[in-house]
Amino acid sequence: MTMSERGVDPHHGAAGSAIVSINDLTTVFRRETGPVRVVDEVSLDLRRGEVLGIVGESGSGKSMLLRSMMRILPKGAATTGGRVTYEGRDLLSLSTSDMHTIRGGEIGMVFQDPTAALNPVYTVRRQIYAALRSHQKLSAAEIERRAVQALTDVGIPSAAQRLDEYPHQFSGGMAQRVVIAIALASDPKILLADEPTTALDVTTQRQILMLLLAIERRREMTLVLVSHSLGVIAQLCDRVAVMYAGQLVELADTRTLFTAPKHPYTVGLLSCVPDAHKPRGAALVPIPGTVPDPGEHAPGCRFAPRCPLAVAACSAGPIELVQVGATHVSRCIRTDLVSLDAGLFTKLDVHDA
Amino acid sequence: MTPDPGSDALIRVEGLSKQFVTANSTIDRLRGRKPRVLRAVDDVSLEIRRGEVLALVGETGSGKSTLGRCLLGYHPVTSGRMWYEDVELTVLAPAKRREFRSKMQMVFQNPYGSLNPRMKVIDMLTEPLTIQRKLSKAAARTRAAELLDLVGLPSSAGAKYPSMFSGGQRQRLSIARALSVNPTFIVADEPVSALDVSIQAQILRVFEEIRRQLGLTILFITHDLSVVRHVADRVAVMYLGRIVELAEVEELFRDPKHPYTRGLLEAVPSLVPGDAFRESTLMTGEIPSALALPTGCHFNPRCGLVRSGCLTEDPKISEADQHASACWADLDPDRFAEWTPLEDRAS
Repeated sequence: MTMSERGVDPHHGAAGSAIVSINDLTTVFRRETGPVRVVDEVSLDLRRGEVLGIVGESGSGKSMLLRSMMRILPKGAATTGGRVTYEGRDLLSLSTSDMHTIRGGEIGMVFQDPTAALNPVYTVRRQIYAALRSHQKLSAAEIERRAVQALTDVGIPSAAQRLDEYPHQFSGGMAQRVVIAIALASDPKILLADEPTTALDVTTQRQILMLLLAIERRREMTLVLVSHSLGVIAQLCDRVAVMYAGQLVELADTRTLFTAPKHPYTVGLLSCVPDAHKPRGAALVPIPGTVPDPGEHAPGCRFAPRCPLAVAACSAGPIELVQVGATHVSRCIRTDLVSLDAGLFTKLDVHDA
Repeated sequence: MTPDPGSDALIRVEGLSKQFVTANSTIDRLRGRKPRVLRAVDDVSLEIRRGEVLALVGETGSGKSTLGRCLLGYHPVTSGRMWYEDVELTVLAPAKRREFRSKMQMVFQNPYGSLNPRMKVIDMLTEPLTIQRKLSKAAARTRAAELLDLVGLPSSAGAKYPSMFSGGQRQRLSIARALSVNPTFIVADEPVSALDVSIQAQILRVFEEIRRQLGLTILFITHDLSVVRHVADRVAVMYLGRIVELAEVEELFRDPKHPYTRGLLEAVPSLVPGDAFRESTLMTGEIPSALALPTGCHFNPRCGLVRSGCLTEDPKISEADQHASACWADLDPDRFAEWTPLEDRAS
């Protein structure tokens, strides 16, 4: 059964402008006790030229979704269903060599830890040359010129001198710039960034985010930003997908998601995060309980055990996404009761763990 | 100088410095290279008032954790003096100093690394009670149950091992263990930084609770300004080993004075979509290594307001000020105005 048969537009109102269409993507981890779904029938479009945010806590499946798309899953994980359509081709059924051309070619990637992404025994020159060469034939003079240009474009001072340095000679922020330069060397149409600033200080974070945004605009690239930081998402993204326990639970444009969320989990997240730009008001309102371990979620709505609105029907069977606005979907059967101002999560004390 | 007996300071620090000497390899020694000195904490004076939550905030490498560890005696200090009430800790013999261990406890960032995986929760909590506080086994067990309740865990948690708990519950356990010896002062070093956002709020709630019920004094070390605004009474901003600004929490956020504080605050993305998020004009670059501290104001290489005198003159915050900022523009505006602006220096 596809989602359109369920009466919900699988493209969530974005048909026609998609550069990538993800349909019912499912990825499992093989455990002794049987397969555990870490990405569970996720359908989502990436639109041309947009910044799409994917937000969720640890175990939500947000990183595994990106890795499933790019077929770079860790050992023990496998994609068991769904399609990822890019320019008319299903990435999941491409040959390994065709996929290799797309990965790091038309679709670039940046991860959280720049020191893990760079090879510590090679100079930056060697690593950026490899990226430039793998997608086009260039003369020696041209490749040097482009390498210096690539590092300059990402804001590395004295780029020509720094080419011959090793990754450990770069600070965390500067190393992440090198990783971004390498990802951009093939002129990708899509850049997938998985927590690209989580390991960095807030001032460096801002510099890297401003850089990504400037590049996205200049190159009319599609940027997918996976982050647990709601502030980062609020300031950078055009649309936001919220994930919980392997499922997409809410999708909306950024302003709508932050001002009129329609999933209790999103409301909970927004009420429990302190804001540095607002005077301390009422006490923070924590979401009770903990994020379920993969595969250990409740039947029916996976958020129900932590949800103040949960009723018996929430746990009776799988909950589908419902359309709550033209481009806004939520996986909740009680969306009419969900609002930021309703004080959903107030009646709790320190023992509600 | 001894502290004023009428003072409300629980902990007092005068001119505290902590230097680390880098390890030198055999080759370095053969080449005649001298070991290098890292000045992690550089002449800090600070008061932590009885019953307050003082947040110590700064980037990686600012020296905030080192300062916290010096207070608890985990690092011997290089110079300077420290008092607990009217007892000068820095001159105490080690045996005497040990008596202060139960009064001053630490909660660490990583709840996975700071709990003994082979010890049941109940043993972890009762051991210090029977050994340090000489309680009977039964009394220790009663106390352990109270501690678990205080941090929001059921008493059945006592029979389990740390690996059976989630990250947030382990941080509750770390807090319970720190509290088991009845401390008056807690250093919490990034206690919520490793936790998911929905769990962070739960643990911040536990801190509020223990402080309200036990009247603890807490030094809350964090890089996260949003958390600071939520938990602190006062805030000390640290940069390259020095306190550069110190004020009441709302005062600091409403009217940050030091360009470093202003730059840090600007860098925190707002939760309101569409708010201005742009390059800072006040602050450029990254925190340099504490192996090579700049002369004059430590912040001068990154400062958007920098003037000629900032390169040579060393600014110090005045502890007497309600809202102290170690910036010449505040300390001596007339003199600052006479210096030559250097803002084009970076480009």
